[in-house]
Amino acid sequence: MPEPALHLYAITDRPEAELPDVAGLDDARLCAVRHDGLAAVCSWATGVEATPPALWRHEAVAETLMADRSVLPARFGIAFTDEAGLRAELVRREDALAGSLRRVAGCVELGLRVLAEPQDEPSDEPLGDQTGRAYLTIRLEARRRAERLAAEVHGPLARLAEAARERVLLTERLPLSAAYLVRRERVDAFRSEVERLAAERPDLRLLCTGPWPPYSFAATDEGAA
Amino acid sequence: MTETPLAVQQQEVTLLELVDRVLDNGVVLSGDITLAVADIDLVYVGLRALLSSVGTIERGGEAAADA
Amino acid sequence: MSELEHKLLGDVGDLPDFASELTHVGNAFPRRVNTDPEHVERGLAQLVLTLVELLRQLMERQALRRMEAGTLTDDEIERLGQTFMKLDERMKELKATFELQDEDLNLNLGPLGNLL
Repeated sequence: MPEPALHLYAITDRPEAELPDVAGLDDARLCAVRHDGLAAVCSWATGVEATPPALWRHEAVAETLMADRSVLPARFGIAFTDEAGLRAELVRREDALAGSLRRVAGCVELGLRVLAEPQDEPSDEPLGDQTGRAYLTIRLEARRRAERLAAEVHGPLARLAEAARERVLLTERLPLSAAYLVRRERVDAFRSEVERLAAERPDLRLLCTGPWPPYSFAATDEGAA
Repeated sequence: MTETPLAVQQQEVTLLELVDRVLDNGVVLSGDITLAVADIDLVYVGLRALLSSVGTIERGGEAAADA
Repeated sequence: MSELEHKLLGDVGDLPDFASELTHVGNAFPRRVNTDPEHVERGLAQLVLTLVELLRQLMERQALRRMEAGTLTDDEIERLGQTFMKLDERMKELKATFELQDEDLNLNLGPLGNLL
């Protein structure tokens, strides 16, 4: 029989604020470990498994908190055997966490995926003896195309964001995947810009998701070499 | 109530986006316990120090290429 | 669909295509992680091939940068290209042998994001 564990949902500011009336995993009541200007919002649960309902519950807690405080949403699955362990981590990381909270204050995360039609490969016939060169040339051109496209789409959107993380050419059909940290009051302008870009580029499909708690901007440089 | 195909697709894509965030991103504290699904991550966590220096190798390579 | 899940903004055409590509990237759930002790070799192969894939991508990116910068001779370009082609083929064979898909060879590099 597994032991109960203290599951972490998020690190927030405003530790004095009352915890919202949303249930955690296993419908448990939320609690918090507090230290200086930080709160680690958590709840006790036993035998938690990563299932879609559990992930959505984790997300629900992070989103509810985000309504009235700055939030660093935690990765799913971080748990402690007792409050002391969580407190110790909070204290150990307090400066980095406080810094990250300042960075995300007043912002939400918006995601972007750009889907493109796969390019027709040039003839499979090797260019005489130059098959190695041909291979690299194809790869280079694919990368250049993706980078150009990324610049055309990512550029305007990044200008509306406080921060951005982009991945070019994740797959042949995903030339751009990105996350943007956007001030709440700019979300509408951002969405309009996505729509404008989508209309301008009928050869692409743009998928914008959000608003999310700032998962992609929450990490601190833990244990950086 | 049966869901429309569109609603099912929306749920699937939204779940894919959630998974990307909640399992691969977010702030990480060193908990005593990490869930079973993340076991493979425990191995990777051990490699992270090595791999985070890969960025340095890349930048070093760029410097050499520009030389 | 609950309120919480209404996260798709704007026009949402082509959802199946997005779903397919995102799965390919390794976002699919449940994760295709082999923690079955009976198949420990597959888990090990998964780890090893992920590392090989990481190195392959890094080296290929290096090669492309140098090719673009013009700091490779024609001979070097040809030989590097041949090497990467062969490595590509070998990776396909190894993946097939261990029944691994592209999305199995993903790796979270922390601040660097995911490999794939």
